[in-house]
Amino acid sequence: MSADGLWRALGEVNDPEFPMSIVDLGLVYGVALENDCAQIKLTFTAMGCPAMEMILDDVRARLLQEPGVRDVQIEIVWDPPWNKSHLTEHGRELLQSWGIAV
Amino acid sequence: MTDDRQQTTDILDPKQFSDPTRRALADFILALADTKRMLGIRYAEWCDSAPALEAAVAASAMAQDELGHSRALLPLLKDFPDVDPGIPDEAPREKFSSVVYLDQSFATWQTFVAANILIGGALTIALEAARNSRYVPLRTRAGKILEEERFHWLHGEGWWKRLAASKDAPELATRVEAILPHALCWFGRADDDALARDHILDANPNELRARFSQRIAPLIAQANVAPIADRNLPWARFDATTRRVDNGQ
Repeated sequence: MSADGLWRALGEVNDPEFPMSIVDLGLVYGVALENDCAQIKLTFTAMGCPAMEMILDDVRARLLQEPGVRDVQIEIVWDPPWNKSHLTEHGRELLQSWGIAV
Repeated sequence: MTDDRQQTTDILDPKQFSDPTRRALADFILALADTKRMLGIRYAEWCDSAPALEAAVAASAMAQDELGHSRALLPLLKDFPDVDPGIPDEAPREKFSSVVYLDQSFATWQTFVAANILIGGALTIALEAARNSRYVPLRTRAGKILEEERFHWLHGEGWWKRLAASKDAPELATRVEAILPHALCWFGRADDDALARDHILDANPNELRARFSQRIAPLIAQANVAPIADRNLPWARFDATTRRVDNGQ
């Protein structure tokens, strides 16, 4: 298992509000694998995000399915603050296709 | 030169601060987090009773923001050896370091608007002073909080101007008069400058109060209340640890 594999796995974790991945939304700030432990730096669009726990649970559950991952550590970071420039091109296209200005 | 460099080195672990500075920092974080928590609770009470549907939706969003800010700040206290370990974990508590005025529900929409500008605005001034803080965990949260608070101010400013020009102006003035001493005292006594001295904030309490006064001066004038400079603040009733002004009740 490599960091690339972790990114791919995180690409299958959807934001509960928009049906797009947290990677396309630009919430993942860092990924590393050390001693079978996936270390993730994650931000949220808002500090009062009501889906925070749900997303954290989904990230843990998905990464623990990966071979070679026995533990998941998630660090929530707020710097730099999330904004729409963090969207991937695919994420931007998805939001635009739903009529959301980005 | 060496001393100067030392003073402005980034600090991640609060145990690196002197005892008095660390205590002052813990008190500051708790006062911020507790007041934001109470603002969130009070805003939430207006989610279904604001004067317009849009205002109710905004109240809901603002409540969520404030609760989020509180929850982002409280965990910082886990790194402080002298803080009750139950506090960062949000264990039930008897005492809070929130602004006294928030102990009661807002009686009117004018109270909501005045509290947003005056209490929310005071906290924003303090967080702006932490933008370049040497205490990294506070600095890295301040940017995101300030980004979200920008919309609270715009909302409050719009409503303030609207109310001040309407038949509701006297009620707004009454609420402003009641809240203003709490907001002005919140920055602390003039000589309580440990956070500025250790570069945790970029200004001492008097400078913060001056920045706040300058920002709200145009709104104070519109609300038809006495200018801030003419006021005697109730320092005898101010608790420097909790930043609460005892209201005598």
